[in-house]
Amino acid sequence: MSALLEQAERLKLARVLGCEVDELGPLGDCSAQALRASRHAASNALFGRHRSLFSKLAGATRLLPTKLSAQFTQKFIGPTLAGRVASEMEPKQALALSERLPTPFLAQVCLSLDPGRSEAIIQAMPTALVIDVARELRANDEHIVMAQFADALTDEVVAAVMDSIDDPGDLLKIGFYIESKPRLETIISAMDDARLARTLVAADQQGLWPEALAMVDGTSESLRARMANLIAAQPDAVVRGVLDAADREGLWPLLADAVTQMDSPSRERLAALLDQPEWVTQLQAALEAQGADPAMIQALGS
Amino acid sequence: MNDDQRAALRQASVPDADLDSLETLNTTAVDCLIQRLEQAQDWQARELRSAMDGMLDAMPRLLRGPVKKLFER
Repeated sequence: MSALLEQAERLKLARVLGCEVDELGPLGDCSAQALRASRHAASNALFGRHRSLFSKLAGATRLLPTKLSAQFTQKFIGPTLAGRVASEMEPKQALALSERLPTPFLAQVCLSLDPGRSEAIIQAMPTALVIDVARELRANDEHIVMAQFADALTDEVVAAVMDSIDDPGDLLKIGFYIESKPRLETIISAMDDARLARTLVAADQQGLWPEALAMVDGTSESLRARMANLIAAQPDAVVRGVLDAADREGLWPLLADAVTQMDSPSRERLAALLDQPEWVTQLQAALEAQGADPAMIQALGS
Repeated sequence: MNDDQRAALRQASVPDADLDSLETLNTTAVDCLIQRLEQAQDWQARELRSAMDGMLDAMPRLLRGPVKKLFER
């Protein structure tokens, strides 16, 4: 999981610095935390260095008729700078301009827009426009960018975007990359069991168990318990799928946490599907490492 | 991070508040960050200048004056 998160941080830092991930050199070997700190520093530096120019460009687009401003934004400013210029715009101005810009361009702008710095603008966007841009981002496999915006959007808009996403695997990919656990908790809590169950089936079918298990790591016990019991409630093939993935991808610590959160019937169901002796050994070892109840550990092997 | 690197990061407009959070980076990583940041700053400066010039050239004559004034302020 940390490998996935580190790769996401490398990509985000490379985007800010305008280079490819493999051009980060020794910087790319840093921890996720150090990469995040580098991104914040680089973003602040790039914005701070030319803030007065971004402000002037925002001022110039305000002087122009919106249609011409939209043409100039596409032709001369381009999506990368537009993301930074947008931070210097009033929400009303940004909204008028965005309504004149094509969705693929707006999706490109999102790649360089700092959600923290542009929160007022993002929240001013109508839900329909956000959904259109989200669809474009999803089509471009920009799940990391979509996750970055989850913090800046209101609960209602996030719910509408989530409803517009057909593939439950996409929800997992986005959820995994959401940095704020309280925000993630709010989003998942709004999903009913049937919908969450579909994400688990998608995890099994699309090889997304690392994302599914790690997504809820660090969230509340009640949410982790809900997910854990839902895992155990899936068809046998899906439950065996998570056990197999735990074995292949070293997910036993995450699965052990899920087991400790399960109610007794769920735990018994999982135990009944521990077909491979090594699954039992690995799961018991992970539970022991987490200081789980010895009786619970013992019961899994009987 | 050594004093020279700290100075270079300040020179590249990294705010003082962010410098402490970069202390965990080793010196080669900091050097790389400085280099990449300087390149990104150069690119941004060129693109901004080009965007402003392009806009001015293509702007209706009536608006060119006020916008040029805004850019030069």
